[in-house]
Amino acid sequence: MGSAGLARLHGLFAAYKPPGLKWKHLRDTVELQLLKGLNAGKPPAPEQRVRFLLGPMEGSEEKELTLTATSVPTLTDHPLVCGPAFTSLKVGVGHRLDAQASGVLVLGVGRGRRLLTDMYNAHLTKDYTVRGLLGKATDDFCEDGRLVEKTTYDHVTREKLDRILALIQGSHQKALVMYSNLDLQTQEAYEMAVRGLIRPMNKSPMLITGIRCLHFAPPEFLLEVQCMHETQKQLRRLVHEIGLELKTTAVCSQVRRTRDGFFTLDDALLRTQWDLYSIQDAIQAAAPRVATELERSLRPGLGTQQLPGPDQPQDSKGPSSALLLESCAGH
Amino acid sequence: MQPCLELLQGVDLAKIEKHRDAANLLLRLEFEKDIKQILLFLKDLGIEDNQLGTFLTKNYAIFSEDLENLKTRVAYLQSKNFGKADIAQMVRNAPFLLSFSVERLDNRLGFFQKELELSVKKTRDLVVRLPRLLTGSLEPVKENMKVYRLELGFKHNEIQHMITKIPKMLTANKRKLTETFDYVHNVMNIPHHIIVRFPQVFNTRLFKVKERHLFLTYLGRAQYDPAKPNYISLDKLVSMPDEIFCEKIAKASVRDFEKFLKTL
Repeated sequence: MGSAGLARLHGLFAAYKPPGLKWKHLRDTVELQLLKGLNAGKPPAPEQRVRFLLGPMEGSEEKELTLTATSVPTLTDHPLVCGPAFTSLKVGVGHRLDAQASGVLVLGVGRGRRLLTDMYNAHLTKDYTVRGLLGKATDDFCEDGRLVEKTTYDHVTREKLDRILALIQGSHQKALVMYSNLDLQTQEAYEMAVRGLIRPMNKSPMLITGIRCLHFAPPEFLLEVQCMHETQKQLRRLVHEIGLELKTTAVCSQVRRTRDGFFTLDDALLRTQWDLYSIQDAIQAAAPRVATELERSLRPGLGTQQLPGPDQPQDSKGPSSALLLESCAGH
Repeated sequence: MQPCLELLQGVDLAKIEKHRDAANLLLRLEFEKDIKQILLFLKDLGIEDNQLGTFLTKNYAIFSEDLENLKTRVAYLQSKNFGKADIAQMVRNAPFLLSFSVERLDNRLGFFQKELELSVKKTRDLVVRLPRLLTGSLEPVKENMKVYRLELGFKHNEIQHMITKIPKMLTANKRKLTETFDYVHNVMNIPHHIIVRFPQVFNTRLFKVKERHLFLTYLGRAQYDPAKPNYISLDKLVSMPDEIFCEKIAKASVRDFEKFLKTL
């Protein structure tokens, strides 16, 4: 059972990281649970080998002990002799979450770890819900940090907050275009911008593609943020800066990732489901979606044929720098 | 070696191999002289054949003990009024028990008697339930007693009551104890006398307590005061599996609980 189980254990799946748990502990726990499941299966039947043992010969009249060839199971592969069959598994982690954040965490097992790098190079956006609290400022922008300042927040209204968020989204939109190294004068780039498909395909600072307020009940407010190349600390700093723009202060009480690329909350496995069978089912369920999405995001966009320039490499895989269309933008 | 292996189904050689001198020790033993007598002695004590495997995986060094010493130690335990079945259970759960000399066992029993100030019968029951108290180090136990008294503020009779119910509390991790107590007492606002009645909370993982408490607060059912209606006792909060907890205590479905967990 063990090796058959291992064969189905290659691919990506998503786990829900609860707050307070370090991502490394989660990865280690998942590895231990998988090993437990793999080792729990029945071991294969032991090999037999022929040994010459002393035994009474049947059918002879003399009562002598003679050597007879008998097939005896060898004990060299028995788990009690040489230990459990599986002692380590390679489990990789996608975009990390720090200890206080919670949400979807993508993990890759076996050959799925290669898909993790593909996912990273696809530069997909992630969705977060960020909960903020007005009236306090702390040193690490979290609720339980060292208190720096306390302010009033009666003057804050929903309209002011929406205005600030629209400002933020606008400025990040400009940054998006700038970091994607696209010349907006071309037709293809314009069409992509209209459809909202522009995003940088290389390293860039945190960029917010969308931000809006879901719920506003002072002092609490709930934001939904779509961003890329972020860290959770930068999101908390964003809440702090929103507080400053509103001429008050704010701290962040919860950062929760609801979507990482194409893995949503529904695909994420809870702590009770971190065992071999649920993970295998999750990998099987996610496999077709992973394949189509990765192929789509690494292919040149809009389906236009790319004319190879004089020094343009002929490979069809997405280059690590900007979108392929920039080669057309050169003329 | 082969007849040994065939007899002792269940001894995990892989684990024994990890100790450095184990292999030397075991190979030097002769089957007839040493091993057979000790095996028969263990069977006399009441350890079954299938349990011998796990016993020897932990304490393979028992073969190097003198049979007379083992008999003296068992006689000592019997003199302290431990029944035959009790001794068998203790040896099963703490394989190293018989490798301790009589005076060491005496010191340990005396320590627990003095420290906990329980009656003789209760100390005996405690040791039978958790025999590794006698084989483990005494420092963590002393630390934990200080923590309970000074840091958490329990009175001596309260500590005695909790320990007779859950002996594992004596050897629990100090940091986890303080974290659990901090959450239960300060966040869930449960006073000392109710915690004493349900010491199982110290035996459960903290995240479980947190998740269930937050779910009940979200549903508005977090009532831990026995005087008020809809009271939920702590042992029902922690000791039940998820399905029964959701059905009976939270009166919600398991799917709702999972959806709630994904919003934390």
